[in-house]
Amino acid sequence: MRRLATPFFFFLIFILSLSACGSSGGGSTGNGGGGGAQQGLTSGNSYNSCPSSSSTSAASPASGNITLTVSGFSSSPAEDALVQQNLNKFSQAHPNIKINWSPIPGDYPTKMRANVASNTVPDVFYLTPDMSAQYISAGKVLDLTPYMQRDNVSVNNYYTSLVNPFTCTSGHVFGLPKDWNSLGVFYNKQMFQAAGLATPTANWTWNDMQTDAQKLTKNPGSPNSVYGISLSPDASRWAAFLLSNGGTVLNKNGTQATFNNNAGIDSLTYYDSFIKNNTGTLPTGVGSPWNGDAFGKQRVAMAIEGGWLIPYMTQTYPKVQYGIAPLPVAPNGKRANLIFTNAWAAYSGTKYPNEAWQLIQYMTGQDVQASQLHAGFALPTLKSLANDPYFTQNPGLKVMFDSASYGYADYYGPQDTAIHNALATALQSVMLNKQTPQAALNDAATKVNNQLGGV
Amino acid sequence: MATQPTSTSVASAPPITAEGRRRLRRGTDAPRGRRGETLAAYLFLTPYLIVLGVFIIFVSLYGIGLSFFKVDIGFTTPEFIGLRNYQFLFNQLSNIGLSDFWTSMINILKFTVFVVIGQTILALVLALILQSVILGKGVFRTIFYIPALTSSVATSLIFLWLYNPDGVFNYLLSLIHIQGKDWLNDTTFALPSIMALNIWTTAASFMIYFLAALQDLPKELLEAAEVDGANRLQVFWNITVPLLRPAIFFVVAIGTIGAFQMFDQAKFMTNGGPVNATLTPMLEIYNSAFGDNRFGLAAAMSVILFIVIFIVTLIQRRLIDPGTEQSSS
Repeated sequence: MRRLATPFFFFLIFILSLSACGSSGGGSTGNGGGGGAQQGLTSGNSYNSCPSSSSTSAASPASGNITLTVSGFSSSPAEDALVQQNLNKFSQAHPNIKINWSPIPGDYPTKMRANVASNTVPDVFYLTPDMSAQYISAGKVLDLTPYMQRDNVSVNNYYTSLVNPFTCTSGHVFGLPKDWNSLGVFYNKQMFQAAGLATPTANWTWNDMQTDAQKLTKNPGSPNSVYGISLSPDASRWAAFLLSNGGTVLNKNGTQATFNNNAGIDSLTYYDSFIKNNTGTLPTGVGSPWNGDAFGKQRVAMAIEGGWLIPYMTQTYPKVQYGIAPLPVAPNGKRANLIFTNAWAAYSGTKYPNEAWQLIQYMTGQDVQASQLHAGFALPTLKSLANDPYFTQNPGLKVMFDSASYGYADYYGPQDTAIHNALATALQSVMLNKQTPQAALNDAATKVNNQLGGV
Repeated sequence: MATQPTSTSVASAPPITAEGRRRLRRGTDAPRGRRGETLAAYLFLTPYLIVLGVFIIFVSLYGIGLSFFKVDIGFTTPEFIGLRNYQFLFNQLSNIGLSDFWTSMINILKFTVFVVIGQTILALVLALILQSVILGKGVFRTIFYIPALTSSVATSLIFLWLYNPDGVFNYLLSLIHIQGKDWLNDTTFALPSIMALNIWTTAASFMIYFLAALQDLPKELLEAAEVDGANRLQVFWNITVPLLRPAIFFVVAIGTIGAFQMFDQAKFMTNGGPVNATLTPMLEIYNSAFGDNRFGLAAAMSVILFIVIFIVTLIQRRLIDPGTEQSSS
C-alpha cells in the first residue's frame, strides 16, 4: 500500500497545482460617487441598500437591428402564451428589436444566481422580491430612474407597496411590478348556506370569522371531519393578521425584529385559536398539501389564499361554488393584506439599456396590464385600471384588488428568506402545540436578529 | 460528499491490489519491465485519477478553502474572513434550540443511531432468511432488492402517500381501532417515520453484502461446530457473527456515512419540518448555500459534518473490527 501511495500523492499535487489557478472572484461593483441625494420617489420603507454607483443618465437608442434576451419563470402554459403574445406585439411595434424569450424552468432564483456567477444574465428578466436586495445592492440591475424621468413615467402610477420591494433606500427604482396578487378569504357558498350562515360581509371582523368557523365545523378529529377554515403555518398568511393588528415584522430601518411584541402575540394567539378550538385545521390535517386543495375537496369551508386559487378551482374543482371575502377587520378596526408581486428588470451590463427599458415600459404599461387582467391571471399594477369593467363581472377579484391601498408587500429586505423561515418555524411550533405564541415568537426574533447581525 | 467513494475503495481495494502486485512480481523479474508495467498501470488509471482529482479531491479542498471566505458567488467580491464562519457556528452552541445547524446535527445523530442499527439487523436477517430458503430464492432476492433499485424520490413520494392522515397506514390502524397520526406533520413522529422509510430502502443493498459474506464462510467450521454439539443459535453467535465482522464493519461504516448525509427524503417529504424536526445537516447546508446565498457558511458546515463523520467512522473501526488495522498494513 505505502509503496503505491507516494507516486499517487505526487500525481495529486500535480493535478491540484494545475487546477488551483482557476478560481477567481465574482464581479466587483467598482467605486464612485454615492447614489445621489435625490428626492425619494416612493414612500414607505425600503430595506434595500443602494449600489455604490449607478448611471445617472439615460442611454441613447442603439442603432441597427438588435436582439434582447428575455427570461422569466414559466407559470401555466396559458400564461406563458400571453407573455409570448405581448412580447410579439412589442417586436411588431419596434421592428429593429428582436426578442428572444427563454423562460427558465424549475428553481428560478437559483438558476439566475448561476447566470450572475457566469456573467450570462439576460437583458431583461423577472426580479422576485427575495432576489431584489442582493441584485440591487450589488449593482446587477439597471437603475430605471433616469429613464422614468426622461419618458415621464411616474412611479406614482403604480401602487406604492408594489414598487417598494424594487427600490433602494434613496428611492431609485430598479424594477417595475409586472403583476400582483393578494389574499382573500375563499368561502364555500353551499356550506355557509347549509350551516344557516349569511355570507361574510365586507366589514366582517376577527370575531365573525371565529363564530362562523365554529358553526361550519363538523366531526372534528374524525376521518370525515369538515373544518371551518384551513390555515397554513406560513408567514405569508399570518403576517396579514399581524399587520392588521398594528404589528410590524421589522423596525423602520430593517435592523431588528419587532413581531414579538403584544400585537404579534395577540395576532398569533388569534390565528392559532382556530386550531386550539378545533374549528380550523392545518391543510395537512385533512391530508392536503395546501389550503387550496383542502378547500377544493370541501374538507374546509374557508381558506385564506390568493388569486392563484381562482384558475386552480376552475380547472380542478369546477363544481365547488365559492365566493371571495376580504380578510376580516382586526379588533382595532384596522385591516391589512399581504401583497405578492414580481418585477420586470434589466441587467445593468446589458448592451442595450435603452431598448431594455422600452420593453419594461411596454410590459408594465396599460395595454399589457389590461390584457393580463382580462385573461384572469393576475391583478394589474397600474392605478389607472382600478375601474376596468372586468372587475364588475368578477367582484371576487375586485375584493383582492382593493387591498392594494391597505396591503403591504410580503417582503422584508435582504434577510427575507431567513425571516420567512424563522416565522414558519414559530407558527408550526405554536400550531402543533409545542410552544406558546410568546415563546415561539421570541425564539424567532432571536434567530432573525442573529441573521440581521450576520457573519 | 467526497467521503463515500474513497472509503469504499479503502475497504474493498487492499486484497485486489495485493493480488495484483503479487502477480506483477511473479510475471517479470527485470526492473526495467516492472517500471514499464507500473507506467502502463498509471496510464490505465489516468482517466479515473483525473476524475478523482478534479471532481473529488480538488472540489473537497476548494470547499475547505471556501469556508474561510464570505462568498455569495457573483454578487460581491469574496472576502477573506478567517475562522469567522466557524466562530458563528460554534457561538450558536450556547443556545442549540435556536440554531438550525446544531438542531440538524442532533437530528442526524438520532437518525444515524436508529437507522444504522435497524438497517444492519434487517439486512442480516434478510440475508439469513435468503440463505436458508431453498425454493424460490431468486424470487425473494428480487423482491427484497426492489426497494434499493427504486429511486429515492419515488419511494419518498409513495411513502408520503402511505403516511398521509387519510393514507394506507392509518387505514390499517383504523381496522384495529387505533386512531392514526398525521405522521409527517407531528414533531414526535416525523423523524421516526423517515427513519423507517430509510431502513426499508437501504437494508436491501446491505443484504447483498451479507449474502456474499455468508457464501464465503468456511463450511468446515460450521460443520465442526455442529459435530461438537452446538445448536443453531450458538453456531450463529459464536461462529457466524465473528466471521462476519469485516462485513459488519463495512455495512455499519457505509451505512453511517449514508445516514449522516441524508437529504432527499427530508427535502421531498417534510422539507425539514415540522419545527425543524427532520432538518438534516445536508438540507441545512443546501438551504444556507442556495436559499440564503451564504456559500462560505455552508462550506464551514460541510467541513464540520465531514469531521464528525470521519471521527465516528474511526471509532467504529476500532470498536467493530480491531483486526483490519494490522492486516492491511
